[in-house]
Amino acid sequence: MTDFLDYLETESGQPISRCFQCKKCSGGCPVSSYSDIKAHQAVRLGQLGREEELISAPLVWYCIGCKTCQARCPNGIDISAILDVIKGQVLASGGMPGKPLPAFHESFLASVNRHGRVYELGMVIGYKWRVKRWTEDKELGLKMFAKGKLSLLPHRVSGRRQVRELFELHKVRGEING
Amino acid sequence: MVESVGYYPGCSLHTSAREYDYSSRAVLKALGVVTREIPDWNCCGASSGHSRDHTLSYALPLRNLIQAEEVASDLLVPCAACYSTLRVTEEYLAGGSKDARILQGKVEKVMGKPYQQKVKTVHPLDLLTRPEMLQKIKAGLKRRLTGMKVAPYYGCLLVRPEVAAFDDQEQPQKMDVLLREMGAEVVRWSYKTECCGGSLGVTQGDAASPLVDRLVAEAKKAGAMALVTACPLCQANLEGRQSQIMPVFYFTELVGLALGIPDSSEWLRGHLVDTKSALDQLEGVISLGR
Ligand code: SF4
Ligand code: SF4
Ligand code: SF4
Ligand code: SF4
Repeated sequence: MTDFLDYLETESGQPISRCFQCKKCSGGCPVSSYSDIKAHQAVRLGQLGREEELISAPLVWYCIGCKTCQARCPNGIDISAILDVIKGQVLASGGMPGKPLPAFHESFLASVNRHGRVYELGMVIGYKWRVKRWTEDKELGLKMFAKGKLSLLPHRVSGRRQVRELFELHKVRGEING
Repeated sequence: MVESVGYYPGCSLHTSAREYDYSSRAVLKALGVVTREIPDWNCCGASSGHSRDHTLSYALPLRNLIQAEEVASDLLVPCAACYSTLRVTEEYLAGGSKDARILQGKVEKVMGKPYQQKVKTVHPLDLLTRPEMLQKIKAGLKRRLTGMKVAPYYGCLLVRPEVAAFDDQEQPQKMDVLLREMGAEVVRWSYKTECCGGSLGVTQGDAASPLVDRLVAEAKKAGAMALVTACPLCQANLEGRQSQIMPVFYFTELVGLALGIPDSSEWLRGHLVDTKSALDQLEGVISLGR
């Protein structure tokens, strides 16, 4: 067992080494035809400890967490949980600026962190700014705006100080009480 | 017998999916269920929470569960993404692993309140299809949806992961049953739980549209004139990303219509794809006096 596999299994909570490459996951995965490697191949890269290939695989960002893979996998492996570990690793190291999907997650979380709720227009602007894609989607955006579907003012949670603390929790050392 | 439930709208229902919010609250009210919005809720983080870190993906929803305990013992969550997140968090904490207990302790400290595991997260589709609720809906029908051919779309997060599923994972039936009880004709199709592309809709137009278009085309092929959803993300994606013209209803809007709630035509005005084509069929039947 490689260190990387060990790490991935612990962090994702998924029995990666049990995968026997039956490919049922990829058969049901809605994004596998759009992405470079398919779901079962991601699991294989994990098994083989090929960290760099996995980190640079677009599938990591295409996965939408629909968990069809887990529902179909004879070993109950949730591939999105494995890919989430990789995403977290990349976002924590501040990597991939300007790439659409990481930028979306960053904008989303920035909005939650700042306001406690998602301020939709702020998020869309933040996201477009990060990937410098202003014109794309303008039409849909304007249509939604006209129907009152995008809000202009941030909705703030009065407990947003608490929410900010939740964002820092992973740095806090925990203990079990009671 | 449910009388008063906690209610978590989530960000979507406060912004782009207002008609889902209004119709859910109105339908529940008409059925004698009081909804009490949980105080000062925060975004549950859904899929983006997961991509940052484990702690955050449970901490954001847990704050909401703790806030909900002040309000009622059932927490109603219409957004499928939020529902799934809250439900999974509830189970994670009920599991009582060492990590879960550490996390609980940390969040309780931040909030200055304990988590008592008193709240059960429930999706409105689950609530409205319980026998006593179906009875009430049947008794309150003002207008049968006869003539309306619809394809129920469950998407992913109502049936996955397993702990969050309140219906069969591959062949869910609850929305079908509800729609049929109201007189609608439910078409048979095999794309009920196929994913629509979710947040890819915002980021990768190229990947999301073919997924949506295939769903719409399959619904049409099965004879449907409208899709019915139970998730604001599915609804926005299906409506905003199709190159065809098929209305996409929230199931609560149709319940509202069938119960004759006066505001129901108001909700439908907010849609991006005109709902008239589907309603015309219905209206025609009504004017024929059937
Ligand atoms: S379905 Fe499970 S066992 Fe089969 S290839 Fe995918 S991850 Fe491996
Ligand atoms: S969760 Fe991700 S990997 Fe699994 S089926 Fe869905 S998109 Fe594919
Ligand atoms: S997951 Fe989506 S809908 Fe739910 S609270 Fe967060 S942003 Fe809102
Ligand atoms: S929006 Fe798509 S990905 Fe999200 S729950 Fe609905 S079907 Fe699934």
